[in-house]
Amino acid sequence: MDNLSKIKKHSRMFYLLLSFLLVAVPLYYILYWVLINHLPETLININVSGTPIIPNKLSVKLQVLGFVVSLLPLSALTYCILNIRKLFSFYRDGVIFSFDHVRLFRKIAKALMLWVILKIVYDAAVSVIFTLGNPPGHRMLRVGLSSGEITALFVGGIIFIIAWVMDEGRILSEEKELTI
Amino acid sequence: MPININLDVILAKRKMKSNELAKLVGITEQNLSILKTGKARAIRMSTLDAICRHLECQPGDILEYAGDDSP
Repeated sequence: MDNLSKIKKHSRMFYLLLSFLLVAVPLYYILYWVLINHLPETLININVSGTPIIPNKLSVKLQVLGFVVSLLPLSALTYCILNIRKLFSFYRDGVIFSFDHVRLFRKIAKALMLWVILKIVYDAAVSVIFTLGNPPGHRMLRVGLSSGEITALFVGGIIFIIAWVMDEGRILSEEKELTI
Repeated sequence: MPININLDVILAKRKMKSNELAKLVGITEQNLSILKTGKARAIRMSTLDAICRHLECQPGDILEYAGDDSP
């Protein structure tokens, strides 16, 4: 099997996986906020900074608010997955070098960076929502960067530079195509 | 670009068709069309050599510097 066939084959698999994620990620967020009162506390507090001092159930209003706020990072993440999927659709069809690829790499990098910013807002909002039922003085607003977000920022920066390099490569490729 | 490609003129003088020349030179008709329309960024010496050989002309007959007056 030649290299291009391998790229096409693996890209098809990644395309399917990303299509699944496009459905699974929003579904995860919906189920998380719908079932928040029934999930084990360890699962709820895995990615959030605010810990309720008094175990209390979230009202439907807070559940809806939590879900609405979760739409912020979710939209950036979905946009990012959509662009990665599009990139793999090009690879799947055997198109491996064009200006569209450069454009997609830039969009993915921007989406990742946007996701980090919106995730910080989301985590801060979640810390408030989770501790809103606590007595006055025990409610919390926590803003911070976790290692996951720093990694995403780092990866976003690398993808940005790769996009620049790819753009230079595209120019060289065009030069080669127009050399008779 | 101030370089005019006079390939059409030479082809007409030699009464040769584009596809015929493309076949003789060993390039695709599409690439010859890119060259004729002035969209090419560069021309290989080997291509120029083959074109001149088959059209019995000089490189200067095909490529003409037009200064800044040309579009």
